[in-house]
Parts: sequence; C-alpha cells; structure tokens
Amino acid sequence: MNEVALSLEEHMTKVEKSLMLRRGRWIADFNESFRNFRVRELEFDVFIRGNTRERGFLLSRVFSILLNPNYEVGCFMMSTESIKHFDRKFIGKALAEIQSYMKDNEMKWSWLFIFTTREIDAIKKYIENIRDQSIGVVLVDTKSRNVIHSNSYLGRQAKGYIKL
Amino acid sequence: MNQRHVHSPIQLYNLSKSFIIIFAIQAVIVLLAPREIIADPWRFLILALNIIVAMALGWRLYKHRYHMVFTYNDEGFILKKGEGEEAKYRWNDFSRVSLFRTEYGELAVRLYLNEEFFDLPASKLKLNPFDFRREAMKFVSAHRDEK
Repeated sequence: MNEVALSLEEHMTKVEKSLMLRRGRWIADFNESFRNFRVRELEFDVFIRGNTRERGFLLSRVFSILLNPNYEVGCFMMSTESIKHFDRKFIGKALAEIQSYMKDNEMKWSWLFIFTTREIDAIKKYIENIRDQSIGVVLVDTKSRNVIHSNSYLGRQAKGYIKL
Repeated sequence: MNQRHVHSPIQLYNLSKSFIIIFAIQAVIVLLAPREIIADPWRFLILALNIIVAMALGWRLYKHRYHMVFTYNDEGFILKKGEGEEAKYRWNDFSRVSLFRTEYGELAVRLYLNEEFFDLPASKLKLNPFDFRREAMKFVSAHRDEK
C-alpha cells in the first residue's frame, strides 16, 4: 500500500485533533484550540490550552478533583515552513515567549511541538539538552520520521503523542 | 461573492429526548389510570397510541425547543434555536476565533468579541468543526483587514 506523505499542516492538524479528542485527554483536558496564535513577536501555528483536571461526568469529575492537580497547561505547535532562520536562537526565542505567556497566564506546564522537513542535525543536541522541567519540547522531522525531545518528563511524555 | 449557506440538520439526541419526555408523561398518566381502562384488550392499543402521540408531540417539542437553523454568508450569520430568539451577528463583530470542546465532547467554533464570546455549535450543526473554524477565521480576518 502506498503511503501518502502528509504536509506539515496536516501533521499539526492530526496532533491537534488527537490532543483535543483522543490521546491528549489522558494528560490534560485540552479544550480550546487557536490557530495563528501570537505571543508578543512570535506567531505559533497552533495553541491548545487546557487544564489537568478532567471535566467530564460525575465520577470522572470527582476522581479528577481528588487525584489531579489543578494546573493550567498549554500546547504550542509550529512548522518551520515560514521560518527563515530555524536555528538555536529561534528555538531559544520561542521558549522565552512561551515562558512569558506561561507567567502571564499562570500556566504550569507547556509543550512545544516543532514540525520540520529541514536538516535537524545542527539543533538535535540543543533540543536534547533543554532541561526546563516546565516545558516539553519535541522536534518532529516528518521527512526522516525522526522525533527528538527535550530531556524532561514532559518532553519524553509528549513524544508519545506523535504518530508518524 | 455572497453565497448563502443554510444548515439545519436533525439532532437525533434532542429528538429522542423530546420523544422520551412526551412518552414518559403519558406513561405516568397511564400508570395513574384505573386498572379496568388499561386491562386487555386495551393495553396494546394504549401503548400504540402513546407511541404515536409521543412521536407527533415529540417532533413538535423538538422543533419548538431544540431544532437549530444556521444561516451564514461571508458577511455574517444567523443562528436560530427552536422558536426562541435568533442570534444575528456580522463576522466583523468578532476579533478572534477558536475551537472549543464542551464537557459533553461536542465541538463549537468560539468567536471572541473582546473578552466575551459566542459559541457556534459546529458538532450539533453537523459541520466539520476543523473546516468550519478555518472558514470562520477567513471571514473574521477578511473583515479585520478591511477595517
């Protein structure tokens, strides 16, 4: 069977649907998704926000209140299609913008998914060495089907959302 | 271009709910009725009558309270729920669009008017929420660019 290669946009939509409707619900109740979401000087292709407390029906709500922390969380996604210089500096800037957004909105955890078809060897090490425990970074090379994640619990966990 | 789109699908959940409400009311009346009336051979006739009445009145209740008609074009939209008041907005009333999942798992396209918002129940209207969000974003940004 021939596999049709998905565009970066299609990959992002797939993860967006997955987070809002399926797999993401195990980690947080991601319930609102924005496109072309601007945080100061940077525009993210997708931003999904949620809370670690599941809302659901009576039993799952009680279970969630008793066991889950009440954290606001967010998931940012971007593709490198429209980015001129995709390098360490750019990722650093994206992380700084996310941190400022998290601070302004009292957000505890965030994820950053970057989808690319470009050469990633130069930034691979940089991503793997990100140790910020409040942001999980995942770089997805859709061409080589390579997924790199930051060295944090959130980074390792986020890798599981990606099904190429 | 000013093509008008109309969406008014039947919502099976709300239609069933309306049917069950009417049927349950009749069932209570039958239970309270004297035994001679509901004894054979009337029992099945009464049941059949209840079902027919529940279907007819359930349909009326559904149309009166729940049925939604959504009409839109590139200028704005009208959402009418049952016989109630219709919500009429222009796309340029809004500045931001998102996709929102309710606690019942239904998706709505959320249109922001500063801090306030209006939800278009895309799932209930049987619109593809992801595609309709994109269309709504196009309408909102087109008017924002004109301003």
